[in-house]
Amino acid sequence: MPERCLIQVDGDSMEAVVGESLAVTLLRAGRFRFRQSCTDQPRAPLCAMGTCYECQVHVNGVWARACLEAVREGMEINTHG
Amino acid sequence: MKKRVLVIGVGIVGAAIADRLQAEDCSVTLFESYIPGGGTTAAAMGHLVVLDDSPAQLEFTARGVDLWRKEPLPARCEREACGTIWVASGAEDVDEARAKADRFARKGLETEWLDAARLREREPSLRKGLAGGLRVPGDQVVYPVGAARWLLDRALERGAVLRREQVLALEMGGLRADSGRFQADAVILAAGLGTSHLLPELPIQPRKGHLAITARVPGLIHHQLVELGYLKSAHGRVASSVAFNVQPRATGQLLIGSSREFAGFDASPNRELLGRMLRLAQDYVPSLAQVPVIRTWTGFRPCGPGNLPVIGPWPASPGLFVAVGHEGLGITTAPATAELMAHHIVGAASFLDPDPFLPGKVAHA
Amino acid sequence: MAERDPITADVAVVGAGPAGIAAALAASSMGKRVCLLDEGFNPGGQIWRHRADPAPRAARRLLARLAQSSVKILPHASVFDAYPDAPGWRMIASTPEGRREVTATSVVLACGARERFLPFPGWTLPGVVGAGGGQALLKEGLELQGESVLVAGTGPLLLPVAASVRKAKGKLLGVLEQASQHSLLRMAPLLLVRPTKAWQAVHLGWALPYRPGWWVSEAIGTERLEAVRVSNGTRHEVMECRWLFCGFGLVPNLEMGRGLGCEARGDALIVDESQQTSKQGIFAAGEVCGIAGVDAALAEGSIAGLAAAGAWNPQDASADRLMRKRAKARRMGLAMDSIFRLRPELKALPRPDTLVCRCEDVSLGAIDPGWNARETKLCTRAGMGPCQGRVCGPILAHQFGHLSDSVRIPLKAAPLNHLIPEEP
Repeated sequence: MPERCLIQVDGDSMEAVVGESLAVTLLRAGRFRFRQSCTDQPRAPLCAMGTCYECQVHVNGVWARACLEAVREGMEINTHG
Repeated sequence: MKKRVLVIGVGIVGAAIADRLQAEDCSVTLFESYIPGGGTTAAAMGHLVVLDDSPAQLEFTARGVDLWRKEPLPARCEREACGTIWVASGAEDVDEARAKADRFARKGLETEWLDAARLREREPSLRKGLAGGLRVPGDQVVYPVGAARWLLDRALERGAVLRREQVLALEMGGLRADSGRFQADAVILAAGLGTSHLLPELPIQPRKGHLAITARVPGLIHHQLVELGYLKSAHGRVASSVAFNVQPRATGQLLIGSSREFAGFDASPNRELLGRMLRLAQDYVPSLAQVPVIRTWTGFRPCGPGNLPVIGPWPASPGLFVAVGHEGLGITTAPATAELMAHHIVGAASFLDPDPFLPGKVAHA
Repeated sequence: MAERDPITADVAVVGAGPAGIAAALAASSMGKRVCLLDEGFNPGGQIWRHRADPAPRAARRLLARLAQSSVKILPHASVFDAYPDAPGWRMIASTPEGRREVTATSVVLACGARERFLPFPGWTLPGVVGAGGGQALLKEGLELQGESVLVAGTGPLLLPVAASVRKAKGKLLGVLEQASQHSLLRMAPLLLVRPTKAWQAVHLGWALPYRPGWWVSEAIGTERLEAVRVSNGTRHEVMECRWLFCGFGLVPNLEMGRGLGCEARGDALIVDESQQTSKQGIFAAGEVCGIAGVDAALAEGSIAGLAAAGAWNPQDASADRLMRKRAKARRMGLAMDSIFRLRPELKALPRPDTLVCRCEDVSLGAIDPGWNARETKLCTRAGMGPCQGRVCGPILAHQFGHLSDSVRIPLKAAPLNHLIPEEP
């Protein structure tokens, strides 16, 4: 059984799988607006391997690529960054 | 009869001159072998800032900023009317800020002294313990390439002609380029670091600088921030120096400078100097530590023989004019340079005294 | 503070995909101190991800050997600077723990490849993901729960991606391969010499709604993908669709090699027989030498690792086997290139308002076709965003023939304080 933990996404508490790709966690939760482009378009993962920067979010206040982040207990995520 | 003018070099200075002279009813042809705005202009920070290292520099930069402020710049020029705050860290800086405020006031330029508490209100990201800051609300920033290309486009709309070819040599009453000979009433050399190649008597040295730009972090910084020690770095002739200078860009990015060194035309990064520059920025704005840097680059400032650019007729070569050696002031002073050049070429009224910039003067300054 | 001290290695390997792992193991088997740097949080690269989807047996074996070896693995390390530091090289990485430096006598570049994306109207909508990108998400555990998925683009990757979609309980609408049936038939003789691959292809191709000569011409939706318009040039269809996994082959990651001054030809680093680049002491293996797949990566990685350890002898019997394996895989790679060549119709898909640079939202119409790469960047900001042109660079190359611009530090975006060397 995968280990589960609690994370915060835009202020909402959410259960997630420890070690899972944050990009997958957010998509599974139905979040399809990871960031807002400079002309305010919604953007979500494209390459899923750290190249395109479309899955940029803030993790504990620090700019991160969701596809390269492994979920861990207590993570605070802000999208629309 | 329209005056035929050839402008060599389409950086921001050449573009501004062409734009102005074409508006003065000259018939201008511009020569650029590379990308218009792609040399020193493209590497520049793009501040429109009043500096007061000397009375002439104060007049010159103030006129430049004033002329820019009147221009209806489109969005692609990314103008930000953010003003500058000259940041004072200690008592010595506070005295310098006072003196600066006096000098600016005598020129009729607005400034506002911010004590430590008001500085923190204006720029909460600055580190604690600073003495204060002198705000200059009239300063702005632009995207240099956008501004240069906008000036060029306006000149072309007014009938100027752009030739993307290399100028091989200056000749009596004209020049020789890749496609042949061109005759004119005036040839204006505005080739920045390409100048010495065509006019070896006028040495222009590359003064290398580093810049770094961050990801978009809107709201972290609101003004262009410069340390009051900046002029010491800018106008000393030491081998290498760094100064704190951060600009908020229209994109929400932060542009971080600055460094100065004489290193020939070696464009590779000096990691030690870049590190010092970034450490200084982080010392002033601690939260920068976590902000991603997405790109750094180097550029070469065209550094002439004196502390001012050389603008005017070149002695002993009738019909040849120069406008070079702007070092780090080319963006700010391009329209003031164009105004001086209009004075020399078509006798237009000059707001500035042309004398301190004349080739003979500067060479012996 | 011990953690902040530079790591000293004989061989530094950048990238922990098949090529990098093979190189690290080969060098380490020769008794060398090896440091393996990788951006991901687990070794395996893009191909061997193994959260939800177990990697193939061969991969598991190599990963197990790696875990038991003396190779020092630095995961989640994004190398953003590399430069000569006599007698070898120094690499600077950004990690969650901070800046890390690695010095090494020789370096193996095994930076792999990224997906090539091509623009069409709507391609920036959430739900439009790369083909490899989609597979990566599935391997990391994305569940599709009956949602409709179209797989499109080009290349041998599309079939396994489609198989993964089915496995993740997605409703597979089809696999659109832009290459024509005629072109694909040229693959038959190649597959005959590769029975396993042939079996896979036939098995997958029969089982899946595979449509050669078709491509996506538009993605439709507002907040996320709702439908796609597809075409074969004469016929057009619209399909309702929640996900589009679409990629157009791979592009080698040359930034670090270029930054170090290694010579490249087209999209590939130039290497000699021992996988050494034009810079002495820098070796390259796998996709950075041109796209040729996992077999080439493994063979080249082993050769590069041995060569970097000073233990490469082409006269060895084992060397001969590696060289033959490499040659065969490279031939296959070249053949694949020509079979899956991009059709000209794809260039006509983006409209003037279709974005080509997704970081800076630059549309195709903003670009003067007379500009070169640098002028385009300076005038439009295309390529000035955080991906540093990794997505739009290949697009502009495809659309306008632009050659990519110079490489600058940081090779990948990094926190400002990671760019500051420790004070002496």
